[in-house]
Amino acid sequence: MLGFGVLNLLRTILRNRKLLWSLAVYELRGRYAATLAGSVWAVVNPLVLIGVFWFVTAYGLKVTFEDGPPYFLMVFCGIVPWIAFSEALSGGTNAVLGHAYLVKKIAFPIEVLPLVPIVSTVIVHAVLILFLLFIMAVNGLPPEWQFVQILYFSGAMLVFAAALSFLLGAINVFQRDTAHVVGAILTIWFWVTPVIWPADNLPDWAYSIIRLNPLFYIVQGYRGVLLYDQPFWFQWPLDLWFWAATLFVLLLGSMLFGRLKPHFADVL
Amino acid sequence: MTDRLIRPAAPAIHIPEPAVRVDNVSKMYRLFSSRGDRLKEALNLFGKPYHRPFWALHDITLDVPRGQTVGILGMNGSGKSTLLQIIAGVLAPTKGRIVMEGRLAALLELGAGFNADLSGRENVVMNSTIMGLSRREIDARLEEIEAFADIGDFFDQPVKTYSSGMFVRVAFAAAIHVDPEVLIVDEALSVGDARFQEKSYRKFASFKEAGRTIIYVTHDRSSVLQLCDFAVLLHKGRLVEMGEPRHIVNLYSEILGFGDLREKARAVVAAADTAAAAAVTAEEEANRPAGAAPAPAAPKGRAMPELATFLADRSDRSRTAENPTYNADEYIYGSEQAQIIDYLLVADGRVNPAAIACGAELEIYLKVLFHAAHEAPLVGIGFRTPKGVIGFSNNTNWMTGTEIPPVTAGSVAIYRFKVKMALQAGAWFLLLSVAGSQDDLWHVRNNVGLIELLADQRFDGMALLPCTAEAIPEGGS
Repeated sequence: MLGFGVLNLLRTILRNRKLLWSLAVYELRGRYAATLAGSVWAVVNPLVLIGVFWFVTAYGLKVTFEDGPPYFLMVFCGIVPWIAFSEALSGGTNAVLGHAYLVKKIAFPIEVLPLVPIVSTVIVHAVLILFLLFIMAVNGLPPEWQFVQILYFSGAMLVFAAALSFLLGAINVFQRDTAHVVGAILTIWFWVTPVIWPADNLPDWAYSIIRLNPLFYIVQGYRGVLLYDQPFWFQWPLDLWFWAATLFVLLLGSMLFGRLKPHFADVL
Repeated sequence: MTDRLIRPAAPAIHIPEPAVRVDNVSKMYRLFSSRGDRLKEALNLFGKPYHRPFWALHDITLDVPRGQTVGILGMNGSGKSTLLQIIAGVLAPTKGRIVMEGRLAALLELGAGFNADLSGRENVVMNSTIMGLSRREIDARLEEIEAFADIGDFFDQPVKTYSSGMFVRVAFAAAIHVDPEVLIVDEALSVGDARFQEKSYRKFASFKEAGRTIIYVTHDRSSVLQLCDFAVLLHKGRLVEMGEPRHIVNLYSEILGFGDLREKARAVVAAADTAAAAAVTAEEEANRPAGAAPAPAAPKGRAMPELATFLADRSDRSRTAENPTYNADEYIYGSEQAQIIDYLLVADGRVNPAAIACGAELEIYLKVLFHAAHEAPLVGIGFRTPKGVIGFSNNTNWMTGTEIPPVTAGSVAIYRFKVKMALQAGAWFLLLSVAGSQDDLWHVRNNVGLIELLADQRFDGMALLPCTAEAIPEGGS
């Protein structure tokens, strides 16, 4: 019964994949339509954030490690997936509401909407990863073929973000406070995830709790693949936990989305 | 395979499947007195309702035959737009269902589904992608769409810089070029200049010829007469009647005129239709070849109790305001040596119709109370557009051969004008006057009544002059 909802969702999305792609491209273009630099801003803003963190950690806090890759690269590898996740999630939460002009007035596959910000995030994310690889190469870590495994972690992160987007995007149509609550939660989430701090120094009890955060799996995965030459299953059996949590959110989200969808046009 | 097994054998008589079947559709909106109530209801585990139900549509059942154009008429709030949105799949019906196949394009609102920040071209691509066209199909049509919209360089400007006219041009061009099986149009054509309307009507016609189905919602009754094969009247969320456009337009006009569908008005309209049908039959009978059964006499005085009452009442009470076509915003001038105290209109066997067909004969009955005796009073009628332009005006003095008998002080006289209303479609204000002479105006009632003319053929200008056209073959004269 629950799985049926997910299958329906997937079928609709697959059927409308071209539409999804053009919506994502147009959203990026539309968001920066009136600006001079255009879509460049989509990449510049995250780069500024990364630059600030690099400056603060490398010069302000002067954090260094004896062995292993430089600390600021560790921050990079954490912050690049984090930016993608938070962009995708806040976008996904607002997706249905923000596309009211498509929901209310025309027959439209609404299931596609929460994925639009995810796809436009992917475009930006790909550029940021290339930039990250460039910085790593400059610092003596040239790209290796194992880096391909990054696709697994970015894919996993996007599925998780999408599942949350269906859930929160549907609720947000009815209770618009949701988007603001998500904003607050993202701020907390940023600090409880080892994005800019290393998880290795945690005491055991704290480590075993913080591991349950699905984003822990993602961020540590990016680092493991890019910096420590680890295969993507190195966190086993955390993989099981992550996918169980994702599947749960996906089932819940698609059920709720499917149930609330007929009422969207009435409320918007 | 399986559906071939369960499909019944083809019937001997081919009954076309309806393009759209509206099956017992009802729509309820939940009205909450506050936002908190909506939340309370959503969170209440026992499903305790906090809303008041509002039924926007009640049990609408309607088959739209393939290849036909159907007009949906109704006042504001009658549920037209809700019905269209449900057919278009934008709103979910509370009860009932919509059955349809094939691609559907809907023009529900000006620029619906358009992103204001994107250019017209980008929006067209977007829209066509939503309609399920492939990139190649879109590219193939883009040029045609641009040409049809005909807004020049604006096609590549953000849509938010568009005028409403440009908006509808692009939206209409995009919708019609996705080649839908069913096209839904909600009053989009009333925007845009005459040239674009003309182009749109032509596109409509070719669309119809291609066997496509159009569902058309409008307030413009004339366009329903011109475009639609049949029409549907919605009133207060209910389907009141469907049928031949003229009949539905008449019913709708009664609603507009009287604010509601009075049983009386309905009965009158129905009677008028029967009478008209009887007259047609009589004519056919008369055209029978000799030797056939003699034609029965056409029905003479139709049952019009209002007319009989009007003619019998010679009291001096003013009843003008009781006429349903009366316009309270009239303006009156004159010395009031005589007064127009009542009037009555008859057309097509109907008394005081809110709307009549363009070219129909209108009888205008005027009741005048004379305060002073006069040898030859002068009575006049006229018609003005809402902008005040006189379309036609005349009086008994100018109409040679018309004799108006002398009147005595205190007498009440009734006059009848018969005028062929060959004027442009639209609203016409009635002007009534009585005078001693051209320079001695007694009572001029400007815009005393309002009547709507409905044209089933299009023409430009103010008057429908008798006009024919033919091609002259070579060597002919």
